[in-house]
Amino acid sequence: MREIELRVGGVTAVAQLLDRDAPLTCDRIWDSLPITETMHNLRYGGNATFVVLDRLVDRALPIENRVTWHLVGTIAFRPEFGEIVLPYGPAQARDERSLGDFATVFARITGDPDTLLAAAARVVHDGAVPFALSRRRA
Amino acid sequence: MARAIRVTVDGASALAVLAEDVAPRSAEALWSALPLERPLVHTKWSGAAATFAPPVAPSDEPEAAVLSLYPGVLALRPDGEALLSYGDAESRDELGVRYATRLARVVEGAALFARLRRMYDEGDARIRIERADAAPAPSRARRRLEVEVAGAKATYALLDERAPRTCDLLWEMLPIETTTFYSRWAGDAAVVETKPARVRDLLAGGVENAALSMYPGTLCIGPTPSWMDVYLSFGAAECRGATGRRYVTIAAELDGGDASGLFANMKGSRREGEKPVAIRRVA
Repeated sequence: MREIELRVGGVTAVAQLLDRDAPLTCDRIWDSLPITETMHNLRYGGNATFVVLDRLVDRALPIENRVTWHLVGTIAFRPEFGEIVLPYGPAQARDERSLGDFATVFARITGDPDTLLAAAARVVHDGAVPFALSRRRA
Repeated sequence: MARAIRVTVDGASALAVLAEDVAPRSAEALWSALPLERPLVHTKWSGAAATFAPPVAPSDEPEAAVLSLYPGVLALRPDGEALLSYGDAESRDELGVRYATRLARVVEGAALFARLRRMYDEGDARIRIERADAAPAPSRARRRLEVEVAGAKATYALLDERAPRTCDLLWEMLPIETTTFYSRWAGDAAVVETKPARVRDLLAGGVENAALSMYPGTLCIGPTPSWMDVYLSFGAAECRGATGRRYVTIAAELDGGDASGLFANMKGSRREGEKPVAIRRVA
């Protein structure tokens, strides 16, 4: 069972990859780690923070384990944008011209996510923060 | 002349003109509530805009209802949210698009927009709105065109900086001399159907300066694979087709002057049928 560690600002948490439900996406994300980027709040999608990496853009990668409304406590991926999304409240996959698209749920935060999600919720108010995603060593 | 307000966000300031011509009740309510100061938060749903608690009690139905918030538009929603746009923005919430009252529009707001844009990286700010003396007319040099419908004319300025490819294509096509008719789907807009050779090129690059709402006095371009519609809005208009709303490019806006005669002739096409239209370059 593969696990990743994520850091939002100064807060860290562990998430479990959903290899069974989103195998292609989990492999894609795993192979791209470690990731460091600046995390912002979504401007169209609601109560979620996100990072975008050009090297993750893959319009051929299918949507797996799909959602349109993001699930709090999970991490989602939108391959057409190379976008990793961390929702902390009601949030939907949207953009400038779309009111509803699909995303892949590829990981679930283990343990208590409240502190991490509270840090994510502060981003819109306090400004963008450093984000890091890395493989968790057993 | 419409009254003006000054909008300041953490020291960056610009004048804005109240939309008294289309939203008189809401504009008066805002004027009466000034000066005001509020916390300002970047929107999570509406794009390039910031939001604050409404300066006035919202009405049940929006006046001058719009979805698209052109850069510099100050809008108020019936659900009690005020929005100030600094770029590509659309009034939305969790349930989707939400019509808002267009209250005012910033004139020459580069410094203000830059400060608003920084909120995306830096977080919350504060907004102050106060009464001001009359706002100056925009001074930016732009290519201009003349629109004439059944003998009534007005001058429009091309929005080259926001829709360069579309404006270039439109400029190449001029003069256009044909007929215009009242739009079946879009509300108070007259439509000019054209068939430019390079319309596919325009589509390939995506819709520039895209909007659903066509504010009065705008010239909007709606390309399809086979033809290109030119919309001339003279009132409440929103681009729609048989399958629903459609994004168009806001390519030009009225460049001052009295367009009442032009608008009357456009409106007349609804009952009187097609009217001659000419769109030509202004030297």
